Amino acid sequence: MLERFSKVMGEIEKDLGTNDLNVLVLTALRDSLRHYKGRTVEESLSQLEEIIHIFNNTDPRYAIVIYNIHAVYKEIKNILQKDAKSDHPYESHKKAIVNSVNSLLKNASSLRDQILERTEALNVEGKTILIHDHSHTVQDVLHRLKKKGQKFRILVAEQDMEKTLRNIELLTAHKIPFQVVPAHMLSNIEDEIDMCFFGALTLKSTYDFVVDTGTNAIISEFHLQKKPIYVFLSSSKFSLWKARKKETTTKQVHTRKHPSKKIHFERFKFSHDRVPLSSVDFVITEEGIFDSHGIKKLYQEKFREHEDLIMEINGI
Amino acid sequence: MELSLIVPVVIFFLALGLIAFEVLDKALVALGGAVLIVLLGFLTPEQALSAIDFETIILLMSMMMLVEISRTSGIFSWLNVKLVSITRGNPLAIAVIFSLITALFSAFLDNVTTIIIVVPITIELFRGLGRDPKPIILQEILMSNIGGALTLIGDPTHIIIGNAAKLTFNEFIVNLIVPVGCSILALIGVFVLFRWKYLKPIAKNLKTLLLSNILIRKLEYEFLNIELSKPFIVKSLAVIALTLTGFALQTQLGLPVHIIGLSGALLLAIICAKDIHVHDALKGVEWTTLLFFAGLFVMVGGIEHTGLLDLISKFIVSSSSDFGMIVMYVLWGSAVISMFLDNVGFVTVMVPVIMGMESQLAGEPHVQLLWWALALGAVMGGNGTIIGASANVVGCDLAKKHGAPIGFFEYSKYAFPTAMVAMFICTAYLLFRINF
Repeated sequence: MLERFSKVMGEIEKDLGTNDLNVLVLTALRDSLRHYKGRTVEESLSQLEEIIHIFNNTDPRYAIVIYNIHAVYKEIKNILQKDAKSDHPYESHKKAIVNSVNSLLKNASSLRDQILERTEALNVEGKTILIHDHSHTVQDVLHRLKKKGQKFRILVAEQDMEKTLRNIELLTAHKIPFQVVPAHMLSNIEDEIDMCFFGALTLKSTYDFVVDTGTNAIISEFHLQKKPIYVFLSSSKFSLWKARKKETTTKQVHTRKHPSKKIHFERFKFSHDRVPLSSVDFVITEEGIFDSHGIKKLYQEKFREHEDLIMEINGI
Repeated sequence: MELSLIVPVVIFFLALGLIAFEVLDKALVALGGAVLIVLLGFLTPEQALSAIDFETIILLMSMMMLVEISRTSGIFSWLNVKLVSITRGNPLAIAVIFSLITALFSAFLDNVTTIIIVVPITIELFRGLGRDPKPIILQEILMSNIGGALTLIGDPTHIIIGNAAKLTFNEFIVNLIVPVGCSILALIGVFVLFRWKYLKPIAKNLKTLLLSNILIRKLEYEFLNIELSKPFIVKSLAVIALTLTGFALQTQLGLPVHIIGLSGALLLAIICAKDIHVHDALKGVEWTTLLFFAGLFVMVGGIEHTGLLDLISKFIVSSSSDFGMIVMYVLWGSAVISMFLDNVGFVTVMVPVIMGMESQLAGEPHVQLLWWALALGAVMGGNGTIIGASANVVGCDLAKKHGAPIGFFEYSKYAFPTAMVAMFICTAYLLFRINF
C-alpha cells in the first residue's frame, strides 16, 4: 500500500506540483470520507492513523499533505471529545468530518491568495524575469503582477519538454510576453536577466529547498552573477521533521540506444534538486517576504508548532 | 479434381496461413494473392475489380473517418473518466459500468477503437489499486466483440454480411438484440460470480477508498487536461446521431448504408475542418485494412469463379434434412473456424456459400436465420482465442505494453469458456426462432 501511495503521489507531484497534489489528496480524502461505510468514528480514526503512517513514510514525503492529514485527524478527535456519548456512529458525525476537510480545502486555496497578495509589493516593471520549473504559484504570481499593470518579459529556461510546454501554455493564456532558451545556453544571456523566480516542493530542516531538477545549476549560476533570486513557497509546505541528506532525490537509470548507430548507453534521470537556502535572496510565503535569516526563524516557529500538534494528537 | 479448382483455394489458404503467422502484413498478403489470381488467369482484371465489394470498403472507410474525427474531440475519453468518477472507485461498479460501456461503444464504433479508449483507463485504475488488471482487460475484450455483434456497423464481418444480404441497420438490431443482450448480461454475471474476491466493495476500507479516489482524480487530470472544444464535441455528437438516424431510417430514405456513412463522415470532416485537418482525419483510416479487404474479395471471387463454393453450399444443405441442424452447422462451424482463422476472411468466403444455400432452401420460412447464424458464430467464436479477432490482439498488446502480458493459453483459459456461454445463448436463441 505504501509503495502504491508513493508511486501515485510522486506521479501527481511531478505533473501538477505540490500545491495541486495537496488539493487533490484533500479532495480525494473528502470524497472517501463521504462514501466511507465504517460503523463508528473510532473506526475511521484508526484507519486514518494507518493513512498517517503511510503519508509519513512515502518516498519522498510531502510536508503539506502530512500536515493536512494530521489536521483532519485532530479535527475528528475534537469531534469525539465534544460528544460525550459512549458510541459515535460514523453516519451521524459524517457531515462534521467532511466539513473539516472542506475547511482545509478552503484554507489551501486561501494560502495561495495570501502569497499572491504579498507579491504585489514586488516591482518588476520593465524587468526580464527568468523562470524554469512549472510551479503554478510562480505562474499565478506572474499573472497577478500583470493584472496589476506591471509590464515585464519572461525568459523560460527550457527543461523537460512537457513542463516547458505547460509554462508556455500558461504564459500564453495569461498573455505574458515570453521567450524560451535552452537551460544550458543561459550563460549567453545572463546580462539580460534581472531576476529569477522559482517554486519549490519544500524547505527541509537542513535549510535546503527541494526543487525541480536543473534548478540548482541555474540558481548557482545566477547567484554568482548576483541576480536576485526569489523562491515562492507557502509555509505549509515546510518539511517539519529532521531530514536526512539523502532523502527526496530518486535516481532512475534507463538504457538508451543511439538513434543511428549500434550503441547502447546508460542514462541517469533524477527526480529533484536540492538548493541551499544561502543561494536564495528572498523567500515569499503567505506570511511575508523573508531573507534567509527571516525564513529560518519562521521555519523554527512552524517546526515547534507542528511538534506540539503531534504531541497533542498522541496525547502526550 | 481439376487444377483450376484447387489453385485458387490453395492461394487463399496459403494467404490465410501467412496472415495467421504474421509472416507479412495482411494487406500485402491479400493483395499478393489477388494479383496471383489475376496473373494465373483465374479472373480477368475486370472480373477482379467487380469482385471487390466497394460498398463494404466505402462504409468501413466512412466509419473509420467518423470515429477518428469524433475521437479527436476527446468526447469518448471524457465520458469514460466521468463514468469512473460516478463509480466512486468501487471495483464492482467499475467492472459493470465498463463492461456495459465497452459493449455500447463497440456497437457503434469499431471494436479496436473502443479497446484503445477503454483499456488504458481501466489498467491505470486497477493497477493503481494494486489489483491485477488482466481479468478486467479480458472482460473488456470479450465485451467489445459481443457489443460489436449488435449492429451492422459494429463489426467488419457484419458490414460484409449486411451489404451482401441487403440487411438493414434496423434488421441487425431487431434480430440480434436478444442473443447479444443476453450474452452481455450472462458474461457480466459470470465475471462477478467468479471474480467476487477481486471486485468486493471497498467502502469499509478508508485506505483503499482514499487510494482509489486519488487515482480517479489523477485520471481526471490526465485524460481531461486536453482542452475540450464544446463546439467540436457538439458537432461530432450531432453528426454521429444524424448518421445513426440515417442508418435507422435507411428503408424510408431509400439510400444504401455506405452512402449514409460516407455522407456522415464527409459532413463531419467539412464542419470540423477548423478543428482537425483532413489529412489527420484520413490518417485514422486503416488503409491497410481496406486494401486487405479488397485483396480478400478478389481471392474469394477467384474461388467463387471455380464453382467450389456452390458445391460447398450444396453439400451443407444436403447433409441434413433438418433446417435447424443446418443453421447449427453454420453457427458452430463459423464459431470454430473464427477462433483460429481471421473471421473477416472466413465470412467473405461464406457469403457466397450462404447465398447458394438460400437459393437451395427457397421456401423455408426461416432461411434468413442462416445469415444471423453466420453473423453470431463469426463474432462470438472470435472471442474464443487471442487470434480470433483484432480487438483481442490489440487489447493484449495494450496489456503487454502496460506490463500485464496475456499469453495465448491464459487468454483461452478465461475467454474460451465464456465464449461458449455466449455460443449456447445464441444456439438457444436460433433454435427458439426456428421452432416458434
